[in-house]
Amino acid sequence: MLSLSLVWHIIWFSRVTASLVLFLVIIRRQLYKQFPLFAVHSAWIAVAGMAVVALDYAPFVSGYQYFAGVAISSGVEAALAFMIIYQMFMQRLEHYPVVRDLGTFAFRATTVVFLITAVALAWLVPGQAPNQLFAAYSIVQRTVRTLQCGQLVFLFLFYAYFHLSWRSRAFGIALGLGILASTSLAVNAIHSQIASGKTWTPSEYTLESANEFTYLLAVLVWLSYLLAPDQSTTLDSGLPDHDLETWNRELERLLKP
Amino acid sequence: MTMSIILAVLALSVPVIIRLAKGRGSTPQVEQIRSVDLRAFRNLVDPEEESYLHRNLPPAEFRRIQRERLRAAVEYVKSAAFNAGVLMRFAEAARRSPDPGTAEAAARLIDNAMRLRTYAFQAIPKFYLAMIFPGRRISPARVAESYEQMTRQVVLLGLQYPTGKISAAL
Repeated sequence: MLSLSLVWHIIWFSRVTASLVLFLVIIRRQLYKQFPLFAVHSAWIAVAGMAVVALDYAPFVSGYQYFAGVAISSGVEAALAFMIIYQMFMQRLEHYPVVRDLGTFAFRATTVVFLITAVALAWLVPGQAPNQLFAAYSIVQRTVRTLQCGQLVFLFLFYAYFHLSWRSRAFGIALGLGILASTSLAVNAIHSQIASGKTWTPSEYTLESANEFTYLLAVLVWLSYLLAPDQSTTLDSGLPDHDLETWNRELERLLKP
Repeated sequence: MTMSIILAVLALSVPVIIRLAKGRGSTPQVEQIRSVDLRAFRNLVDPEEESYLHRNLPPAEFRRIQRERLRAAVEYVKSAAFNAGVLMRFAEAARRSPDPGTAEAAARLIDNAMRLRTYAFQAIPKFYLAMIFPGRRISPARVAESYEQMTRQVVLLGLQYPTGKISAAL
């Protein structure tokens, strides 16, 4: 039977490989022109993923150096994810001037509300960690993921309420980010409650394997949407036939209220 | 931890639900349009009508009747907002028309439909608040005006683009 550590490593390597494939697909299909920030994000998760694997196996790298590598990788990834969410929202609003101001205000208000919530949660429920450095990293990560989840929920609800059209690839990118942020948040929240010491317990391995697996799932979602033809989720055809008589009646009704 | 997990579940389930909902009804149908009687709606939210009822009915009876009237008004607003949503999906297709006149008419219809949904979003909580506190004045006139304007735009769009029996259904 495979050990939990081995399972975790297999999923981790698969995720890094899939990230590399994703980046190559973006380059090959020239999708960086359409989604420049997402292309940078994909490049980063591929390169940083490989670098972290290398750090894990390099004999001269200490535990703290490895941790610093993971923190930098996650930090840049999170910053890029924020930029993608913001750009995705603002670019779409450009096409709908009526709700631009309302959308911008609501997006900012949502961000502030979730930032306050995340900071309050970090303050009230700091969680457990083997040392202060890990505790700080865990809190920052939880705060970032809370904020991202809040922004994504707002984005999806706003688009749904105003029936804004999604291009399928943009939807796929947002969906992948949702999978990544939500699982990371859930795992981080559970981990902060069960973390015991410097050595991982079987439950921590299981949790991290689940985290890596959903990261892999997010990358596969991005891949599947980018490989499929881009479509709009709104109506493209199939409008009913023209009915001149009805329109004439309607015009009459409007002219004589 | 509980709150983080609830938020995580929400972030994951909302896009999935939206996708499933879109997949089920991707093509809007004229039959989906709900009937909205603007005159009846205006009557329900008319302050003079409300004052008349206030003067002529015992307080308890007035409160009961007023709640019923507001409940009906909410249904009208919801239907108008729903119709705006259906029309937006039709207009999105027309907006991609090569004819600039059609594209412009469709863009205007989308603008008005969005405006109506914004007003509806603001008006519905006010109605519920007025149900709790009968006698509280609300001004949902913008919903009615916006709906009328939207209906006119459907007619204009229909002169340039096949929108079928939508305006008759409005």
